[in-house]
Amino acid sequence: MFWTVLRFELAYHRRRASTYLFFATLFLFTYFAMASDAVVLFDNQGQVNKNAPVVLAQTMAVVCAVGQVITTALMGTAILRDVQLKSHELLFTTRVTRSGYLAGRFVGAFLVMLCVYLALPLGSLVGTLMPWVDHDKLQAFHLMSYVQPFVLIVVPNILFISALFFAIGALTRNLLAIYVQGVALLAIWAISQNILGDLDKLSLAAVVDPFALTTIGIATRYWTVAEKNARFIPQAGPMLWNRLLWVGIAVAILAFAFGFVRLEVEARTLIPRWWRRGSRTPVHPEAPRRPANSAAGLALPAVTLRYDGRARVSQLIGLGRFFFASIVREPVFLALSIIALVNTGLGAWYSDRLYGTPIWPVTAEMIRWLNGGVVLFVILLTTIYAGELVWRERQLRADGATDALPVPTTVVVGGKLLGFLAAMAVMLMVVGLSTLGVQTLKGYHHYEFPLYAQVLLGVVWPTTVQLTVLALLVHTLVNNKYVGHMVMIVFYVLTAVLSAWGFERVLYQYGQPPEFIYSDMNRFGHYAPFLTWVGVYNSAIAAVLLVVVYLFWIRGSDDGWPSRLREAGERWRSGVTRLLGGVTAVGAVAAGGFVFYNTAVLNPFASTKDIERRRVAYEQDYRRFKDLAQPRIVGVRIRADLVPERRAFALQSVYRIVNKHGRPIDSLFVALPAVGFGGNIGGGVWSSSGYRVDSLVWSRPTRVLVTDSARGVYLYRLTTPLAPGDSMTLTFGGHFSAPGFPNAHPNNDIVANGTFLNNTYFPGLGYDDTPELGDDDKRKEHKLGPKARSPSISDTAAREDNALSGDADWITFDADVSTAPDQIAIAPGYLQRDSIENGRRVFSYHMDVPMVNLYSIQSGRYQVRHDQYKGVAIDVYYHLGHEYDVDRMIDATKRGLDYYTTNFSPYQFRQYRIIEFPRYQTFAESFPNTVPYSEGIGFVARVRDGDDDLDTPLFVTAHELAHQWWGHQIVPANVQGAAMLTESLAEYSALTVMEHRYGASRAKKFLRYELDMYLRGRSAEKKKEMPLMLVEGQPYIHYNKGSLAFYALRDYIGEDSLNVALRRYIRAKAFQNPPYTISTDLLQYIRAVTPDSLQYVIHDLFETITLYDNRADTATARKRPDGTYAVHLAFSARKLRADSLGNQTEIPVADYIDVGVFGAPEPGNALGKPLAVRKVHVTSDRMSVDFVVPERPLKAGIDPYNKLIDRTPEDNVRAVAVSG
Amino acid sequence: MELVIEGLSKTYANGVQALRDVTLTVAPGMFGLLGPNGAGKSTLMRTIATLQRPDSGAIRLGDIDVLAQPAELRKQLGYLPQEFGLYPNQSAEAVLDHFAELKGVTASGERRDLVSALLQQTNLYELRHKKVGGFSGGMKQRLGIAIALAGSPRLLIVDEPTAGLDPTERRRFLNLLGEIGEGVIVILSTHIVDDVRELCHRMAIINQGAVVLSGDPAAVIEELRGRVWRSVVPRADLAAFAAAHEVISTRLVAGTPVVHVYSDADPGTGFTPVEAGLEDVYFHRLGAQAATA
Repeated sequence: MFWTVLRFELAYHRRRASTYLFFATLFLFTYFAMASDAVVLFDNQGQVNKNAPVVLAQTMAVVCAVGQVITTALMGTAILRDVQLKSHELLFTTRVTRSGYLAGRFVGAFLVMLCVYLALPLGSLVGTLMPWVDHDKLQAFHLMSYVQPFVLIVVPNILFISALFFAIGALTRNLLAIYVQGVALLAIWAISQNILGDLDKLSLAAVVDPFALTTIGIATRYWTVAEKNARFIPQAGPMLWNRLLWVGIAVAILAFAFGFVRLEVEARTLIPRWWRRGSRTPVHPEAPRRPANSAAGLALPAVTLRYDGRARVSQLIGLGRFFFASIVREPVFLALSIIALVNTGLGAWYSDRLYGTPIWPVTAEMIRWLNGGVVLFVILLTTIYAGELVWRERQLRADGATDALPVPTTVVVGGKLLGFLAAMAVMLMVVGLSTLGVQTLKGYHHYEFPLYAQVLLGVVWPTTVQLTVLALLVHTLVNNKYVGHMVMIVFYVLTAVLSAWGFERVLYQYGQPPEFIYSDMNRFGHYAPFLTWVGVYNSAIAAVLLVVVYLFWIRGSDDGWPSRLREAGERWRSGVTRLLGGVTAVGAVAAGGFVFYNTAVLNPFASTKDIERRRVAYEQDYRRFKDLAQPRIVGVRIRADLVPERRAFALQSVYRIVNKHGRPIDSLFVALPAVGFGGNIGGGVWSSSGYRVDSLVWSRPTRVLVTDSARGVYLYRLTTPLAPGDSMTLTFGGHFSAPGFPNAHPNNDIVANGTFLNNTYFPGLGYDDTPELGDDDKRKEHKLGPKARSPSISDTAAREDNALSGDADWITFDADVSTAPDQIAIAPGYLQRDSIENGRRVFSYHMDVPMVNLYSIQSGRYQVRHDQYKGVAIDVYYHLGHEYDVDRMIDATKRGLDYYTTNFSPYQFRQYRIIEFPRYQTFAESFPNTVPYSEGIGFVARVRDGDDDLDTPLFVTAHELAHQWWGHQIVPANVQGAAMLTESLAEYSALTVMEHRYGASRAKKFLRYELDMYLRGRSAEKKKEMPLMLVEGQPYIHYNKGSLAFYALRDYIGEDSLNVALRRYIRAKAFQNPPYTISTDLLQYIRAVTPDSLQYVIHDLFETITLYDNRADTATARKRPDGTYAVHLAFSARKLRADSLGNQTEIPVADYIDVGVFGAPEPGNALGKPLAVRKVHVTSDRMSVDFVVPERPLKAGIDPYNKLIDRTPEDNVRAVAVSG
Repeated sequence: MELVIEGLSKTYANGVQALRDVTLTVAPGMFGLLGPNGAGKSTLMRTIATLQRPDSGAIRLGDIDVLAQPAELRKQLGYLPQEFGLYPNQSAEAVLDHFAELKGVTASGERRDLVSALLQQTNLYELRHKKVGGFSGGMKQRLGIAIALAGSPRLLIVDEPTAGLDPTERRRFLNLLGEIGEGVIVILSTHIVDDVRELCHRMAIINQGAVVLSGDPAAVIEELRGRVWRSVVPRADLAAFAAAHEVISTRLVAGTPVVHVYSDADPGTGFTPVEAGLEDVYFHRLGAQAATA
């Protein structure tokens, strides 16, 4: 019996086109993932081979998770199919046995699933064989690379989802239940990933992911490039448990289903009674109130029949209400809305944490989650329900009755649309309640209802309208529900890849919510007209499409194209239709024209590829001037006239420049990339340009050689060369205006409230390499060689320039900034004047000591908090409402000033200012006595001291303050290792300030995040990992490894010794002129204070990439007669050296490493009370050590505080087995 | 006001000729449209109900040219399609209210009264809050006729309304139809001869897309008077018997075939004359058409 059913099932799927369609879809997906760049699943893989076993496993796991349409079709319907086709009554009365039937169906469908999913490895494999594939990104073929992930990941995954879908299908006999279950599984999966993302819960997250994607991620999260290319997913540990767990659950589900399902017509289902009520429970015939054979005439009240305009309006509203009421009651709608609500709420609840510290749930943050979290559900609901709207009557077979009603088709289409869109509006507002709930529960009561309404109803809802109308159109035209859904899926895929294929104009992005950033400071700001007009444009297109929907809407039973076309022609003949069609078309064209005028005429459009090409041409044309000797800037006087009201500014600058070289200079190279590439190019934002150079005037006669205002390069020949030591001036004038709105990346530097300009808007001397393409893959496409991230540390020429500014050493600085009368403008220096001139508020700043050539201009409507500490003025300029962390910032400044002036050197300025700027960018940056600080990273942090949260405002403030020393006193050469001297030391300084304030356990907590980020960072390295002293602008090294390294060093040699070294180093190198200091200089000072026995530590931490694999093997204790405990700890210690790709070699251990025994946990110290901790000299890879401790020991281990870099820090400590 | 159908023809894309030059005139009152499954009845009903266009021909209801002014016809129309469904998760009252509004009863007070009266008349009032999804076939048909009756239609088309109903429900439904006032054209399409016999004053038989007979049921029965004969025939002889006589129908009565034959004169021994019924007319006509086709 089993075999008969099985054969039948296999034959059934073999005949079905959908089986092959599913196979083809999966095949093409992995094929293109290999053979093209169009499908990018995992970004940032760098040097990892596309066909490495890990990558293949991840791809397969993702497809298993999202491929549930396939599971629904193949598995969910295995039993349901018979019921739907009403063949179950026939089938169940044959001699088929229950187990034979169920097992045959399940095994058959499961085998088909396996065959379909074989497309994944096959597609990948065929993809790698394509001749055009970049072989640098591939490794040689290994059969096991495909087999192992398939067996380990795919087979258990699909066994689990197959069992689940099969069981749900058999037990509910309800297709909607299967769909809801599928969506719910995906949503719960996504939500659990979100919740379990915390460092503490990783092993739990690894086990409970049914698709094993997290498990792979966690197992390989610290793998280096070399390991990812060579190793297979480990089959032991969490992965094994995960697989066993889910296979076990699958078996349990199947066992339950087999035991529960009966082959009966009336399903023994698991759908609760209340759910079935109405649709299933039969209504029993009523007692006849009138005799059945009565023949009294029908008496009906007289009614007025109206067909006028008012009647049509009330019918429209009535239809809308009818469908609204029907949709909001549907289980699918309710289920998806609830999932959307939970998903958004949880996302918002766990929103943005920096080092585990939460933020205040400000509405700006909440709407970010709303806007992002709800999109998927909008897409799901519109896709499902647009099909429903078109098909509902025909599916119910009610179309005969409805289509013959005396109601115009326009009213029918309009009413349905209205009902659904109203339901969506309600759903969006209900989801909005989830974030309001989060705000309330977190004790934040500053509700901004209008803002919620603006985002939900003004941005998200119109997108819903557009998508719904499009889906209506698709379903109307293709007139086949499943094909319609498929077309919509193709549309969504296309919108995702279109911009990658170069279709980046916002005009093409129908149905996609336009991107914007909302800032508390600047609100919607300049995004408002963009959002409005793009919304109007897309909605106008929706209106046109709606007219087309009307024309082709099927009414009656003629659905052949000839009759549909004739019918459409007749509908089009109506004057009203033509008028509507004309008006909407004119509206769409007009709105489109206006958007085009703004995004292509007022603001010239450039695609990513265009900009890339421009950057390449820049490099090709001008890089040859890289070594052209230029005079150095020694004095800067700027004048900035800001017009935040119109987002415009005019800049002037006068540079005093000196020939510091030994030879005369005859050519002058002025670079101003902002003109060609937009503002903020340093930050990687290539915004549209609206910046023009008005004048460049030299104080000596020159001849113009090149004026390239498209790329901001100006080349001059001096009539008489500038002699060594001789000086001259350059006077510059430029202006910026922002007419209309650009296609994307508007200039966020000059805004209505919260302007932040920096040096990039002022001319530089000499070739500027910032526009060069940085990504080596992109460079290869353009036939450029790889770009060095940083000049070599041994490049003596490069040491002539500092890392902060390539065209100056130390400058004098004066600034006059005018702005709106209600704003405060800030630039480095000390305020000289604050006056109103011609209706503008003018500020003058003067810096009375030399400073590096790095300055900022900010302007906004600020609140100001002043304070004073030991002769230093402390000022925080913040946005009204962002008072939360201002006191912490001031406190951190005082603590930092104390520590740095005591241990390093005096503060060179008399003032320290923190100035908030909008969250268009999220960083803080240290300029001379001035720190622009994003509203996104410290002004809304919510440090709960009781919960040992890390005080991130303190840390960031102390870090930026430390840069006044490490960056503005010590100015490193622009070579490898520069960031160690600025960022690592700032990180160390801030960490020390934090530790002095909060104690060692808080520093430990911080370092756990640092270790995690370092290890993950090296795992994602795209080029080469460098030792700390040679760091090439790699944040995971100079920040994360930097603080680990200096903290470990301090632990070995002592805080005082390290500070002595730093103090001596500053004394020797601060305010130095070229050649600038390099990282090895600092290491010399450190070596000088380090005992011989510990010199190896410096080599390990700074000069090499060194890792440990330490582990506590056994820990036992015996109670001694005197009440103390004798503890015996056996441990292994391995020391590893890694090369730049992560290939590791073991080296002998001869290190001093902490070993310790711990007692009961203390508040804020989960490890436990230290009973005995000491450093031992570890000289072999297996050792043991004995302690006598006064209290009952609970844990013991090696390197218990994780001071050393260890990829499995959690096995360093283990529980002590106490006997006696 | 009459419904005039002239020369209506329709051939589907798959080649099936559903209507062949159908010409009928239907006056107010009950009109029965008889025909076997697949005869083209539903196509004709749907075409009159503006849900489908014929390839050729014309339909007029009074002054209304149905094909040119479908919207005007819809204002006069009540249509109960064959095997229809309704919104299962809505109550009977809500569904009826919804349809009444779309029929043009937009004043809410009037509509409330109308819905209530219709529910009373169709004996569904007690069930008005029940979801339609749980209704039995008879209840659904009654709700269907309530929907069709809403908005005082002048033309009522009911397509196979009694198929699948039990005798009680069928009776109840036919009674409802019988109560519909004068002046309304009611077209009852069915393959059940008794439905027509009981209700209709005029009828037509349609088969293979063509009208094979139309007239007053009594008159058409009269035409067969004295020409229908009954005989009991052993099973083994059936084939030979059919070759010798013009058989109208064969029925098994307690296992023995009972045959009606058509004959102008007494066919001889073993035959007894029977009173002709509408069923005999029906089978006779279908048989005759099959013989000529």
